[in-house]
Amino acid sequence: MRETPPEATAAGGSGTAPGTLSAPLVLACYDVTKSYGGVVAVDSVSLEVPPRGLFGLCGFNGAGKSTLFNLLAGSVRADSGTVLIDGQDATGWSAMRRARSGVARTWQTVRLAHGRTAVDNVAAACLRDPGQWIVGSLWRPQAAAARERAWAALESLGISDLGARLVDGMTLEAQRLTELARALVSEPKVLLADEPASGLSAAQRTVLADALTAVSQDRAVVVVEHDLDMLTSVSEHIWAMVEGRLAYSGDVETFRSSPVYAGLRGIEQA
Amino acid sequence: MSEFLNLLAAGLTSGAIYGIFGACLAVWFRVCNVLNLAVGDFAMLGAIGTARLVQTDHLPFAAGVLVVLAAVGLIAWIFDRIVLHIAFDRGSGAHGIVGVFFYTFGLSLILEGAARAVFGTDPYSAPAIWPGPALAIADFHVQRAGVLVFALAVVSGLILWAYLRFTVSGRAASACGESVTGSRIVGIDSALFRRRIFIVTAALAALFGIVESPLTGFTYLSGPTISLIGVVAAGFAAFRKPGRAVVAGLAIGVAEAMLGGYVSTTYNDVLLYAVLFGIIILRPEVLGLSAEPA
Amino acid sequence: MSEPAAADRGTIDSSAATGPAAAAASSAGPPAAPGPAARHVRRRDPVPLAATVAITVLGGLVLTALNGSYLGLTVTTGVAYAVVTVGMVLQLGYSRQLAFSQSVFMGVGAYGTGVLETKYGFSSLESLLAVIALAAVASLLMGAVVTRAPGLALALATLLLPLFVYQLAADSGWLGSFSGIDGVLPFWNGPDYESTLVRSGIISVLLLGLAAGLVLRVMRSGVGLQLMAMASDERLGESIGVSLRQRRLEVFVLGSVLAAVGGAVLVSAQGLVTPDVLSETSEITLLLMLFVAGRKSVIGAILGAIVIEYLTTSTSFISTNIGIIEGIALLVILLVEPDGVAGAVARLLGRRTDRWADSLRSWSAGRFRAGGGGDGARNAA
Repeated sequence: MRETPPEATAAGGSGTAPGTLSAPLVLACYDVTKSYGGVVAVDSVSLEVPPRGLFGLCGFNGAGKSTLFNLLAGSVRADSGTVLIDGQDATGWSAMRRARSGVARTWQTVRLAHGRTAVDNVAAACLRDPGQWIVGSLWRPQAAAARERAWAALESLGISDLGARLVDGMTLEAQRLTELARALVSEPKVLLADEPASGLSAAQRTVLADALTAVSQDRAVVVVEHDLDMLTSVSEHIWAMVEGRLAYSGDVETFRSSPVYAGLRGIEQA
Repeated sequence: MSEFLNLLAAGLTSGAIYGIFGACLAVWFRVCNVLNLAVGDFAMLGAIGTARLVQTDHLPFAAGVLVVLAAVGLIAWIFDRIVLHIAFDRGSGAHGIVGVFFYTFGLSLILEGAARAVFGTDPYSAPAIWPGPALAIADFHVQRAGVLVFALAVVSGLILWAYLRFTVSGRAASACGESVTGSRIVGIDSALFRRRIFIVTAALAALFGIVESPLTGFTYLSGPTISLIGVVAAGFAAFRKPGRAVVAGLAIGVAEAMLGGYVSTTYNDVLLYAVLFGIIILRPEVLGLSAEPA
Repeated sequence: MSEPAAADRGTIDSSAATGPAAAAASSAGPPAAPGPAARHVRRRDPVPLAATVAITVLGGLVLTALNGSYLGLTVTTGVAYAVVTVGMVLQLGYSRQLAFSQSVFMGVGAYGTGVLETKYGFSSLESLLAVIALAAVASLLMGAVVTRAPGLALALATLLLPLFVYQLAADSGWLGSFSGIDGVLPFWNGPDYESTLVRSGIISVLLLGLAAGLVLRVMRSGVGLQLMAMASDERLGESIGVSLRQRRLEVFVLGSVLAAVGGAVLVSAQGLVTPDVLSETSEITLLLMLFVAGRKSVIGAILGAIVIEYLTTSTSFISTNIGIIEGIALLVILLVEPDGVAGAVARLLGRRTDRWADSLRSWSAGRFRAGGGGDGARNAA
């Protein structure tokens, strides 16, 4: 668990670009690039995430959104560029270190430990001392406290009645919410949610959107989403990627009248 | 100089076995992502079976060889049709890294146990295909069987390499290992390739056992050690390239012989295994690995 | 509670409302309102200590009853292997670290005990402690290098280990070559052979109980949850703050140290150590004991070790054909029930729908199974 940062100025409302206020940025990347073989997946992308608020990232499939998340979360190393977490240069940090520094994420395809209950899956992410030596677990197991926090997280997302169920038997919605609970239970500073609504019905999307909005009161939430209606209705700021490059960065109204939006929408309606 | 050449000849002979086993393992792993830990046992069955049929039951040599190869092929076919089919085609068995090792490991145990029950614990040698004393050129001696083994290894290695590289069938086989779903979508029957390559490599291993056994003799327990070195040789070929596996096997065989000749005869294997261990651990990139298989 | 059988097959268990939570809920009568009271997580986990006590007491009683007979010796040898397999439950079963180095460390424990006692006059307790320290250091050094390698490389490299360590031991005059070292002290001397066996056996069972308690404690702790996540998906583990390198090394060390303790127990029971303890055959036997009985189950590992050891030395039909039997058993297990006999038992019991079966299963599962979990809404009382 991390302490919530001291009261910082809230992120700007629509119309102001993040990072222009004196608010410290919780996460930022500058000119990050990643290529696979000859294909440039992420091409010199820079963005800045303020400490609170909900922000959207969109683009076609293959535009590089998941790769960008991987670069930010540390599961992939950038070829060039820098990543800053809370102002510190985190470019060389491992995914584990970034996770312990407050970067949490969910995945495009749900990643949960099979054969275990939801509460166990969530509890694994919120040990007070994640680096504890294995022999330390003999006299200070941490499990009970972690499970209590896990139950609380599940309850806050309304799925506490499923806590003792195995994740394998759950619906996709329940699995996604469990994964979200796992990401939130460690009280991260920034949550990177990769297509959290994928595969959900319209009603379920609304539930999820509300949950994310509530969560973004206290922290930064960056959401990758194809559903532009949902994204534009909840986000304060939008980034759009096209072929690895950042094609748009700004507020929602301007986005709606931008050519990028038209392009994304056009294909969507086709 | 002659000592060096003699050691080299001995090393290339044993290395040929390691190499061809490595090639068989690499080809099959490439097709279905499973390691055939029973390859040495198939060789053992070839050697002992032929020896038994020819020397005890007095079958003509050619007939004995054919019977044994057919039997080995049949065993391989049965194993695939029952065990591997349930495990991989029905998707119900244990998967992941356990599946890579343990199915064929179980087969290996069964084959060794059966061999012990049927053939006993004595060593056997199949009759030599090319009988006669060792060939001598000045001070350089090489066993005839050794020449045969080496030649056979080179030829088989080339055939396997060419199959994968140049034939349509070979490329389809490779595709199976890279993506099961993908290959099924384009109509490649990965189960069929898995079965066929398994049978072919089993029979090939048995053939090698037959050719090599006049040099060393096989007992029911001879299989596992050569299988293991074969796995290492395949590893140095990133579990994909039969040609490279043959070369790796030859290198290991020669290293083993040289260590024995110049360093220590008792500890040459120890040193060899220690070196291999070191290479695998410190330079896993040599195995073409950067992450666990899915 | 876990259902590893369903999980490993990747099927979706539609009757997923299992586990102590559901069991307690169904046995508590009218459905408990899911309020804070039902979510109370019990702070103290009694299972590991209960397991230690139960194993020690039960084992002690059994060995006393067997009174130093040949069967008693067989059981004690089985207990020695069980200490190793319990460590393998943590290492191979639960954390999915495929390393084949346990027989080598068993050898370290066995030879270490033999050398320290016969050549340097250590007592049983002193040599046990020394051997634990030795194994810890050796596995730390080896593990630091070895666990950096990706899974398949680790498996391959450790496959080679028994080969070369066996040769080293068999060729070493100082270690007694093929005849090994004899004259190793039993743990606890008695007035005659039988009572010595019984007493040493009781110490052995105590060590097994401690090993089981240790492993259960780790698996049911927060670190255990991390291991579970990491074993399932390494990327996932990293993303929730688990240090893969640290955990891999720790699991390797723990598994190796327990193997060494098993070696010490073996050698004290039999009075001698030969190179066979470090051979590939020994490693194969250990793997079979683990897989057939249930690689994620502590009680499975214990029973598996004892039963297989018994079978190997029992009727001549079984012991001569043990290879074929083991091979077939392994294949059957892999195909039908990858979590071994223990997994099958848990699954069969889990199918019964009446209350009695549910609570019996959650009792036994809570007592001895790997993987705790579902602590919420435990016995409402």
